[in-house]
Amino acid sequence: MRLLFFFVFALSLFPAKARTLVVDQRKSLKSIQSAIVLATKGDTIRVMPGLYREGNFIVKKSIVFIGINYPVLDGENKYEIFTVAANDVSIIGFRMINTGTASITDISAVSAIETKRLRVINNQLENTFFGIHLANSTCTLVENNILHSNAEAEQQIGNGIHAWKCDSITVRHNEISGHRDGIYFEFVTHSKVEKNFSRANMRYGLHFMFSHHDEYINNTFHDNGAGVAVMYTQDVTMKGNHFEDNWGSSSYGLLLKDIRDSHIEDNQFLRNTVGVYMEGSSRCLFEKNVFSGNGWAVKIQANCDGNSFEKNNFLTNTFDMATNGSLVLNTVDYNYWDSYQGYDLDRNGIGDVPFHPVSLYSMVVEKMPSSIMLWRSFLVYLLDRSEKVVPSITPESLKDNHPAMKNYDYDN
Amino acid sequence: MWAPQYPEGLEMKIWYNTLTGEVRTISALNHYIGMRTIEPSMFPEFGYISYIIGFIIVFGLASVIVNKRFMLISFLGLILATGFGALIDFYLWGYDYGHNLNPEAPIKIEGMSYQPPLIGTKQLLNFTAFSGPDIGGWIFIGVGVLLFGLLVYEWKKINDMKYFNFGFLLLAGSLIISCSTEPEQLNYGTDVCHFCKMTLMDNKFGAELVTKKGKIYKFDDIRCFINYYNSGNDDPYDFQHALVIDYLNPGKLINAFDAFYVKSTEIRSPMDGQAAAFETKASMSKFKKEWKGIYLAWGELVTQYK
Repeated sequence: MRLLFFFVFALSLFPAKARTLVVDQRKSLKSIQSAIVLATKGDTIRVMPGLYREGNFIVKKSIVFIGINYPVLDGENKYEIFTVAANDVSIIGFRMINTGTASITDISAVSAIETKRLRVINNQLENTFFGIHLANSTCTLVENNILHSNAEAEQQIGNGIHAWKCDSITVRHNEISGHRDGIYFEFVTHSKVEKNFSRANMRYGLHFMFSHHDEYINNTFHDNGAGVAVMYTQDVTMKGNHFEDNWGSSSYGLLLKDIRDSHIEDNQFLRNTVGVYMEGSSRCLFEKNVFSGNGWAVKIQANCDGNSFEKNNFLTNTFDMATNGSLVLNTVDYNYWDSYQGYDLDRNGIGDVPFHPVSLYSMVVEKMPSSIMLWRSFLVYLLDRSEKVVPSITPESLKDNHPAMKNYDYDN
Repeated sequence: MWAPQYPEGLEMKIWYNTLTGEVRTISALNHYIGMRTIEPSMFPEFGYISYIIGFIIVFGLASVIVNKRFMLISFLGLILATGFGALIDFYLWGYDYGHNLNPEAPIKIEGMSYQPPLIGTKQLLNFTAFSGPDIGGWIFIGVGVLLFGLLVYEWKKINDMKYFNFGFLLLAGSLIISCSTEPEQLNYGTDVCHFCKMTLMDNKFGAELVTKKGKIYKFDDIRCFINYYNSGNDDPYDFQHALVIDYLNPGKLINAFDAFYVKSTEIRSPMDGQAAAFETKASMSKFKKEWKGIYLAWGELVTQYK
């Protein structure tokens, strides 16, 4: 009963009926700016197709903007397009082009400052400096947007979806290309990044820093400048993502630095220079991932501890694992390694001799990168074989005691 | 020569009057494929090479005393002629030695000849043979290069003093750069932060350390810079330069010890260093007010980020 009373009371705060204003260049209400002035809290502004050059829209009321057939909002290379500073604003179905650029301020197509429940859905962003920029905002939904920019000089371009000090935001089903970082999270908590496609961005496809308790699921990161970076973060779940084709000397499928208590499951690391690079990370569990066609599948620095790799498939990598020290505090168990040459006499599907994933030569290359030139020569092959028989340089304790004989089929 | 069964290699040195090194082993090996035994007596050159070298030395000294350009030219000519002569002679011997095989040899491979390489590396069956000049040869080459340089110098001096100076500066410059402890620009978009591994992107922030040995560390943020500076991986006294980007002049490196720093939560730098550097005190004060920050000098900055 008290709850019902509360609802009635809450409803009475709103105007009797929310209106809908229609902006049409052929009708009386021609400009979006004047519609914003006319609108009151809770109104909807429907924008008919056309080209609108009206500078910066500053939204300080709860308004729903709906574009019909993608009306074009042009920032004329000077303005930010939407600046939202109110709760419950929705921006749906617009095409936003040509925002200004600046080195000091972060000009974007949609910028949110201290908002709640902002929704940015079904928009197309072309040639924007920052795409969607969220600061101090909570409960935000960014869905089904296509963001594309043409970065020529790299520092002259901002991030696609940029969130700073936010909580509970959802970034779903967006397509981002040609930005600095596709998706950038700094101090963002309890958030979800799902089913996005981030490709050909200048630096990282996804960049996480100081962002705890987040998850990213079923995203594809393809051909970005340096892959994906997750840094200084704890409790991240990464599931079902594809990390593909990140080639270059400082480029990684997934770069983990100072990550704790995270879960990396069911991802595909395909054709990267380094599939996963880990530094200073603890207690992360890698399971059921596929590492295929990478230069190094996993590079794990000696300052990592308590991480474990279980039931992963390692296929056609040049080096399966590399490390830079002899002390290893991580475990590797029950993985499939295509370079395993052991036997299974008791036919339980588990190899009877342990597998050492770190080859002697990967240690040599770690110390002296140019020696990669001699890789696949006969002598190196002999060295590796003899090291396998009597390990002396490679970390003895880093071994898979239960290597699988057949690769895992995760679909079943 | 290297081979799987001789991983440490076999070496033969040709001196002006004799042969040294593992000549016997090489000869023994060669015997299997029908090559003759290598002996000093095979080389009639050993008899007169010492006279040729002696003559060159005397001629060189003579040209120093005479101090005329034509002597320089003829000396260079002599060096070049001797060099070419020696190479041709060596080639002819190698050809004969490699092709003229004993038909009774234990190992015979049809169509295979074993001519050693003149200069460089060559694969002979499972042997990798390398041949190149040793100390004496390098001295010889060095003299030739020096003479040529001198001639160019002389020629330039006559033709155009200015051009020469420019060229000389370029040459000297390139020599210095090759082992310099000078700082270099930060390349945003390609350089990677030494501490956090991130690609440098924001040219309002960044820093660089150059050690006395010329090693350069680049950073994307004052946080990474100070953390590395304090990490003890390098002794702070080993840094020749400590530089930081001036916030107002993106990309410009200034001396980190003399810079003025503002720390404020308003500053969004790549690694949340919350600090920006300024070259002048005036611009520091302006931004300090704008961001409601605090002013830090270098001595205070290094105590942050612990």
